[in-house]
Amino acid sequence: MPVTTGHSLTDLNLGELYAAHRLSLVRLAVLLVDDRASAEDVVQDAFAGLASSGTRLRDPDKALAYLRRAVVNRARSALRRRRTARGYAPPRSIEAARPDERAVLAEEHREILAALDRLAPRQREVVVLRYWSGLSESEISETLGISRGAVKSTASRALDHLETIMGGEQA
Amino acid sequence: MSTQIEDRLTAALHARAELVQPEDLGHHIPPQPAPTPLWRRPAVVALVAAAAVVAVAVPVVLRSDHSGHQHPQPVDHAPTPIPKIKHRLTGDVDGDGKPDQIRVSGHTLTVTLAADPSHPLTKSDDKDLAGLAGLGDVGTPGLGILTVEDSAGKVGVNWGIVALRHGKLRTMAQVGSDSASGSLASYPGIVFSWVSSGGVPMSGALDPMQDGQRRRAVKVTRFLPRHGDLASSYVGRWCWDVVTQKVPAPCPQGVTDAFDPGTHGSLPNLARTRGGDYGDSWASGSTDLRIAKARPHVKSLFKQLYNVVGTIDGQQVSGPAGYADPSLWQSFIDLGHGVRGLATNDVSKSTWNLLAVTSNGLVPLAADDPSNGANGANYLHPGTMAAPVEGKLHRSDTWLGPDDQVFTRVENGDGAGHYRVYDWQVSDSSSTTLTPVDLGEVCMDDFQATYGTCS
Repeated sequence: MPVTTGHSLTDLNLGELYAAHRLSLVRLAVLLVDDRASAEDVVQDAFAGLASSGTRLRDPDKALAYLRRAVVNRARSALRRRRTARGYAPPRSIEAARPDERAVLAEEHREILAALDRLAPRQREVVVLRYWSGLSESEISETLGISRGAVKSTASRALDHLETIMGGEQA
Repeated sequence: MSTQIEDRLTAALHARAELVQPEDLGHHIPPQPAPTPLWRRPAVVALVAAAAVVAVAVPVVLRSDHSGHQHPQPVDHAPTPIPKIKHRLTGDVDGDGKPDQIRVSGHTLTVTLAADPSHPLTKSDDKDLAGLAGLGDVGTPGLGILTVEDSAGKVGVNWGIVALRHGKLRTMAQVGSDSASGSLASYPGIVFSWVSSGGVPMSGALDPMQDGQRRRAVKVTRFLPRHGDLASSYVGRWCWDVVTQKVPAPCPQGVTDAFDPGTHGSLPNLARTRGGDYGDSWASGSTDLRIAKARPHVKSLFKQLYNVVGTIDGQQVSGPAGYADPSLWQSFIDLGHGVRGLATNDVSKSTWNLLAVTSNGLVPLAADDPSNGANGANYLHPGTMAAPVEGKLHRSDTWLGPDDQVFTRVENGDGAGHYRVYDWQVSDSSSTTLTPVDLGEVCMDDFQATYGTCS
């Protein structure tokens, strides 16, 4: 990541961060909030937060970690607020279904993603950060603000829960 | 153990993430870093000392800085303006004709009355306040104070109304008077609120389909004092040129600024206002149906088949409903050629399964793909999805019309609100295949609830 250590953020390196990491952060957000439009808003908000905290964030090397943490927190907030925002949306005929790109995925992927929907938010975050972002336990711990032990136990429970939901397929 | 599920999980997450490609992302620009506070800028300090003229300029710039909460927003070619928010205002809050000082800081609103400057009045909120939206007529002797929550990191915020009553600052409620009325709030691109030049709090609901356009139609609500609170009252549709007008205004004669979908022509009733519900069962007249596990019972939710079973017009029926505990749409649908159908929501596939009601019982229907691909059933997703058309994903919606017909629309890339619309019908009364009957290009505006053959 082409960011100079020891300087506060500038237009230039914020732009570089944006160009380099926006797509991967939107993908992370999609896995947490399900629809792309919300995911883009979450990521734009996260960058906005980084921009407005530029004078406080002294170590640009930590910018990506900050952004990842901001995306996870904002995604969680977005899910909570979704009901409120829906109150302003145009009426839907059948149900307020979210845009769902998953319908074009292979059935085996859809099944496990549907099972993922049934996990508690924290379990889902741990699973996504571990199996999609590829973060270590300590990085997940830093991102979510929980202990490494909690990361480990949450991941273990999430997998157990997924196995239960998926039934006897693993037998 | 978990290895197999971990592998599946990893593959599924990567497949889902890969659906988002760079060209799919909106054309946002990176937010700009917050400017360094002016007092920290040596150049500004030097300029202030050097030139008296700067003494005029600096307060202007400072106010702009302090009006604060310049939360960077996604930028489009004509973004919705954001209401100006201030931290300090001057106005007559107690109705004595003298200007009082109003300010917000953190959770606290402070009013210093001109009549009693040594005893400022305060009111604390449980949320951080971003600032003050203005002062308005709220039915008290003095002006009411319109506060704005801190919007950092939120989609939008609601406004608060505070007025001086019996010597204390008190919060007033927004009372809805009809279903068409909005509320005082700021949701960028969705709701815009302001105070009219006559001091009336106003709110406008924006058409999301016009997002980014310069001229927009706005459904306007005003708020007037009633029984100690503010009652909302729908005013009508106003026009707003977001580049030249600070706030919406009544439309000039013959102008609507609304998206014009054109005439209905020979289109069926495509309104998207149909209500209804899903359930585990449905009983109406001579119809009595329920969802039941089919045999064999298996442990995996996603391998367990469920059936629709029961009676229709006294005839025993049974047909596959789908996997993962599906639910039944609680009315018949019209599949054309006099054929009635049932819809079940198959959670495992995120699509509907449609069953034709025939003299031989319930017959599952396979759907042809309107784009000549292999995924016709994908279009039967109830609600919004992305449908593959010639290798690219397009937004697609499936819904039930007022006449119980199933329609699917697919954005055709000709601009906002332009769709290819299909009516799902069986090809004849004995068919087991659903065919998407192409209704051609249709323009639809969900916000205004209008549609037509495109003007």
